[in-house]
Amino acid sequence: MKKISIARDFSVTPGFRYPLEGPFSGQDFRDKHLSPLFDQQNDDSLIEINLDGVAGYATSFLEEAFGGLARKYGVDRCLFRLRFISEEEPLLPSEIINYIKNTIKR
Amino acid sequence: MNRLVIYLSLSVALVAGMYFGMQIANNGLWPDSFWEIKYIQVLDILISVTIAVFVVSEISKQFNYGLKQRELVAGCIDEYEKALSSAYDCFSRYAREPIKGNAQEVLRLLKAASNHLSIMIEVISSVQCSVPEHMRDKFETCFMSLKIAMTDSPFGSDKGAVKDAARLDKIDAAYCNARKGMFKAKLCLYK
Repeated sequence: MKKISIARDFSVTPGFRYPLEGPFSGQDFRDKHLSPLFDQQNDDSLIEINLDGVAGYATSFLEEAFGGLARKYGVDRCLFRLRFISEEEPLLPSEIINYIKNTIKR
Repeated sequence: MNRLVIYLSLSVALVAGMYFGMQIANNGLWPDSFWEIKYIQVLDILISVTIAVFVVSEISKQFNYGLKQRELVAGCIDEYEKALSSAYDCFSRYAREPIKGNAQEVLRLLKAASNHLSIMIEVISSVQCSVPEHMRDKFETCFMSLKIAMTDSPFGSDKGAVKDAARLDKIDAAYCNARKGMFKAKLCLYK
């Protein structure tokens, strides 16, 4: 199982949707940390994402990172492989799963 | 229940002690009229009084427990309301002056409000209170709607004061809905 901590591996102050809106955007996170793990077609190993330790998440960041991933690789594959952990904000995993399930075409 | 047994035992012991004490000191200093007391009746009265006191204390204990639970839930709702209001006020500051510091502050306060919300839902679920299940789900839905309205794009990339009336109306409506839910829950508590 691959483990990713957003605070440790990316930033403690995640930004917004696109890189042009500022550093540490959702698109950056998706392209650098998630997409490489989804590019290998045969790899169905689990990915555990620890959401703790950051100042807070904007909807735009979460939607672009995880909703964007679902748009690119499919809702079912994302839901199958991704596991979210958040002790600091217990409602966050269900919020992200909601963004994945209700992926909006952008 | 244990207390009732203790009280009854003490009543019986008291009457029995008096009776046997008087038997031992049969011709003691007590006046003759003392021996005319009907101890079974005294015991009867003592047991009745003990049971009455116990029942009243148990009823008042249950009542106070229910009241404390309602106060606890109402306190949690108040805390969540304050946290959400702080986030809303902070967004107003961001709308006037959309700088990065204000945007990060909005996110931090929304995270705090989310924590208060999860605590509130947990407390409501674990105590016996009259807030219905669908209302608990509605709290989550309202919070998510407000968070999406506040922090979805173009949040964080606004170049000047936020003047988009549709966007601001959406935020106001989501905030009002969230507060309406809280008031309804409080009303349910004291029904």
